[in-house]
Amino acid sequence: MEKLMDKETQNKVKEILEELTEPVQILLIKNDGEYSEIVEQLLGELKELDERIKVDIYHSDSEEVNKYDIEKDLIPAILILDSEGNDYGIRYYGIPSGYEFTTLLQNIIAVSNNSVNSFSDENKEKLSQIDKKMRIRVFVTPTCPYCPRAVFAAHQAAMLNPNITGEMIEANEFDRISFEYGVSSVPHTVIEVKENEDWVKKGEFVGAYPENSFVEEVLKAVE
Amino acid sequence: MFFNVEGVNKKSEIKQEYDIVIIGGGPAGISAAIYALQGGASALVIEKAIEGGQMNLTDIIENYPGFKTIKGEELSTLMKEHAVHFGADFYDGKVVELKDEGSNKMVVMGDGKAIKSKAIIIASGSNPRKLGVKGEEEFSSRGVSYCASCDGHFFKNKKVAVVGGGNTAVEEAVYLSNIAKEVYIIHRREKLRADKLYQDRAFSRNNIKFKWNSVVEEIKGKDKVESLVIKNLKSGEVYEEPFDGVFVFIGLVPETSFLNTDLFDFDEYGFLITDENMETKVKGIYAVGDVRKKELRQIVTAVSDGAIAASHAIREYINEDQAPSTQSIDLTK
Repeated sequence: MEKLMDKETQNKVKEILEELTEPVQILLIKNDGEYSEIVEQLLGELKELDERIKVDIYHSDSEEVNKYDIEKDLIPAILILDSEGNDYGIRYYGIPSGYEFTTLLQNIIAVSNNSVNSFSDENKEKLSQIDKKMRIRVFVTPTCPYCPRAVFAAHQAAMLNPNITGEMIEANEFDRISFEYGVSSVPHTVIEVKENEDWVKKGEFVGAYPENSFVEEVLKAVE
Repeated sequence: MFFNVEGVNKKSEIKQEYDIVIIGGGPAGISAAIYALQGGASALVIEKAIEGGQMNLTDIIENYPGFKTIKGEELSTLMKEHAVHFGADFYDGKVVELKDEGSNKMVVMGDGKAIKSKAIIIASGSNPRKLGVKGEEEFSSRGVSYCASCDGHFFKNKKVAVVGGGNTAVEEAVYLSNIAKEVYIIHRREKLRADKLYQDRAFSRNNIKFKWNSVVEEIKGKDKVESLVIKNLKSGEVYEEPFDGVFVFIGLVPETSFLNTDLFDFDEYGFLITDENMETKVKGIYAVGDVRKKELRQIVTAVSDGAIAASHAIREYINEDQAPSTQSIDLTK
C-alpha cells in the first residue's frame, strides 16, 4: 500500500518527534468507513517513525470504547493519552490531515512532555479555575491555515483543566453536525457547558483568536 | 492529501537582541531574513499566524520563477526552511508596539516579550478588504467568506457569488467552480483586471458566469446568506437574487494596527510609504511586501522588497563602517 506520508514528510516528523520525553499512547476509535481506514493507516505510519508512540485501535462497537468519553457518532475519533493512560481531554473527530497534522504532532509532544506552552501563567490560572464540565468544539477543514491555532488552543485548555475537553471536528467529514451548528467559515469554535446532563451552547466565535481573547471567550461561557 | 508540519517547531527560546527584527513571516519577511543572514546579521522573524502568510491561502502558484506550478502551502514551507537553514529564528507572537530610541529599536509583543534590534522590517502584510454593505457583518461566517480554500467546501453543489475582478477574485472563482454548482463573478466594471491566463480559465468554465458593471448593495438572509441585492451600474436596475454564499476579493487592507500613525507616512488606503530602499520616514524602520504602497502585490515583488530592505539595513545600520560613500559628489558642476 502506498504511504500517506512521503519520505520527506516522514523525515521531518521524525526530527520533530525527537522532542518527546515520555511515551504517548494514541487511541483510535474506528468504524468500517473509509475515513477510519485512512486514520488507521496514518497512525500506523506515525508509530513506525518513533517507537515511543503506541497506537491502540478499537472498533466503536467494542466494549473497550465505553471506558472513554467520546462522541460515538463522530468516528474516527483520536485520543492522545500519556504513558500511564491519563486522558487529557484531547479529541480529534475526523482525519487530522493538511494543516491539522501540525496540531496532532504538537499534541503528541505536549502530552509526552506534559507541557502547556500556549498560555501565560495568568491565563493558565484563570483556565484552571473553571469548575464546570466544558467542551470546546473547533470545526475545521484541512485546507485552512488558520485553523490549527484555534484547535491547539482548545486542546491546551483541555490539558490544563480536567473539566475541559478540546475537540477538533473535521467539518467536511461531519457535515450534518457542522450544518446543525451553522458552520460555514472555519475555524469555528463553539463553547458548551454541561447543565443537567445536557450540553448547552454558551459561546461561539469564528477565526483564530489571540491568546487573551480566547481565554476571555472561554471564561465568559462560565460566568 | 497533504500533511503540514511547519507549524510545529516554532522556536520559543529566542534571544533578547537581534540585528534585524522582521515583523511578518510571509515571502517579504522571509526574503528579508535570508538576505540579512547571508549579509552576516542576526535575524528574528515574528509571525502571528502561519509562515508563508497569504501564500497558504493560494491553491496553486504559477508565477514565481523556478516553479511552473506549486502549491501555496508547499512554497511557504520551502521558503521557511530556506530561512531556517541559514539560521533565522522564528517566533510565534503578535507585535503590539514599536519603540524607536534612535540607533536602538524595540519590538514589544502581546506576551510582554521585548526584543531589541538595530533595524526593524515591517512585513506584516494585509487583510481582505470588506465590502462595507448591509448584512456583511451579520452574515460574516454565515455565508460571507474571505477565504475560498478554508470555506469553499461548505458550498458543495451550491450557488455562490465572487465579488471582485482582480487576480485573486478570478483565481478563487476558478477554484470554487470545482466545488460549487454555479459561481457568479460580480464585478463593477465590464472587463476583468485579472491577468489573461486567469481570465481565460474563468471564461472556459461552464459554471462560471458573470455579472458585469454590477455591485452588491446588500446581503440578506435569515440565519445565513440567502440572497444578494445587486445593482447594475449601467442600467441602474436593482434586483434581488438567491445565493448560498458570497466570497469577497476586492483588495487588501494593510495590517498596520500596531503602528503609531503619527510617525509614519501612509497613502490614502493606509499602505506604508517608503523610499526606494524600502525605508519608512523613521530611520532604520522598513516596510516590505503587501503592507507597502506599490503597484503590484505579488510574491515576486514581496521577496524583492525584502531583499532590498535587508541589504540596505545591513549597509546603513549594522556594518556602518562598511557603508559606501553616498555623498559629496556633485554631478552638475
